Amino acid sequence: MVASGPKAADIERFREKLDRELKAGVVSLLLLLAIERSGPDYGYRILKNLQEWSGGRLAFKEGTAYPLLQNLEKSGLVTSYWGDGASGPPRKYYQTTALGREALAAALDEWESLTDSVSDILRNAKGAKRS
Amino acid sequence: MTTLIENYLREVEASLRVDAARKRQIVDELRTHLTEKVADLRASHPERSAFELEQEVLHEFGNPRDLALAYQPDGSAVLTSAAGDIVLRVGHAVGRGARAVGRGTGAVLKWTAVALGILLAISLGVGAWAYYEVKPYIPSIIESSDPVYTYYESCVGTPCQGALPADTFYVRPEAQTVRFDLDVRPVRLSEEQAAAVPANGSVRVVVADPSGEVRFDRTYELSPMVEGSAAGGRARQLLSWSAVEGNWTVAYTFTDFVGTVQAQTYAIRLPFTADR
Repeated sequence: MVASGPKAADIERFREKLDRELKAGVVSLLLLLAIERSGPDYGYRILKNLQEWSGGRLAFKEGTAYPLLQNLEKSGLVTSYWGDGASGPPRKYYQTTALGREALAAALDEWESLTDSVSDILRNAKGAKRS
Repeated sequence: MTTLIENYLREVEASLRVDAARKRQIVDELRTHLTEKVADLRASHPERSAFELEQEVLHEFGNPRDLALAYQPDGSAVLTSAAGDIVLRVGHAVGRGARAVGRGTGAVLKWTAVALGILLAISLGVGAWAYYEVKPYIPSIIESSDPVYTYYESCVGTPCQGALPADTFYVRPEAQTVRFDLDVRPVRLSEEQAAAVPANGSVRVVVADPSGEVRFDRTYELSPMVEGSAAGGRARQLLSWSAVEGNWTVAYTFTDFVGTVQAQTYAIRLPFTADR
């Protein structure tokens, strides 16, 4: 059955909010990971790498990545400097700090633990529903 | 630099609430991204016009106002109430005055400035207390500052034509006012770009409440702004209607339209109705 009217609008609003909240955290983690993995790099190439590594499946408004990069910098997890582009305008390069590397390692452990528990919960919930 | 990307960056810049140096850095960084992405797309799609590619890239990048808002530092969210805003503005004005007096007139007046500073601190404290006491009675956006509906259409490379399927947004029963913020603006084009699009176009915007009653129906006529000419044709409207619970619709009909249309809708609770 397809929900309609207020119910459909509520579901849509919940889905959008969940999507926003999930992506906000995950994209920050991925940006930090991408910067650490590829070394000093600038925004456009960091995002390009992420797209490539996800096989083009990671979908989010590219503009949203830049405020998140700013937050990573403010938190001391990355530093930045301006460098000349091969052609075109100057580029802002990001690189991870020692704190950023530590935070990344901790966040990846946390992520694995979280995804494992969520997978277990989903598996158990599906099993309980069937039986 | 293309006028389309520059238009977009100007919109971001205008909505940023950071100091001038930081604004410049943010805009420069975004410009690098946008120009490189367009260049990459041009290399892989030589058959498509630069104009069209820019339009696509900007659309993917997101709404310029939302982007600027995301740069707001945590904890300095935009105040949603007039009272809080006024308290802060008065505080800032008194503070500025106190500093000016202290600088200009020596030690005695310096102490006056200190006293004014203390008064300012007290007034801010009282203001903050009063704000939280009064807050429940101030019109507030229900649940959060998120609009219940946002719309952004950029018709630049190809003029927009025809009627779009109507958008729907849901207004909750506790809402008493629906605020509709509409911004129709022309784009700045080079003479060459302007020659390739119609000189005049229009967009009709129709808003209807859940009963089907039309609350708003207006057609905006617009012409592209050719570089170097004076700006004109922009229409900004802030409209409010009494709320009716249910699904509202917004319909847009374009005729040779070249420009951007942006709409945001908030559901608002009126004074003296908030739960305490």
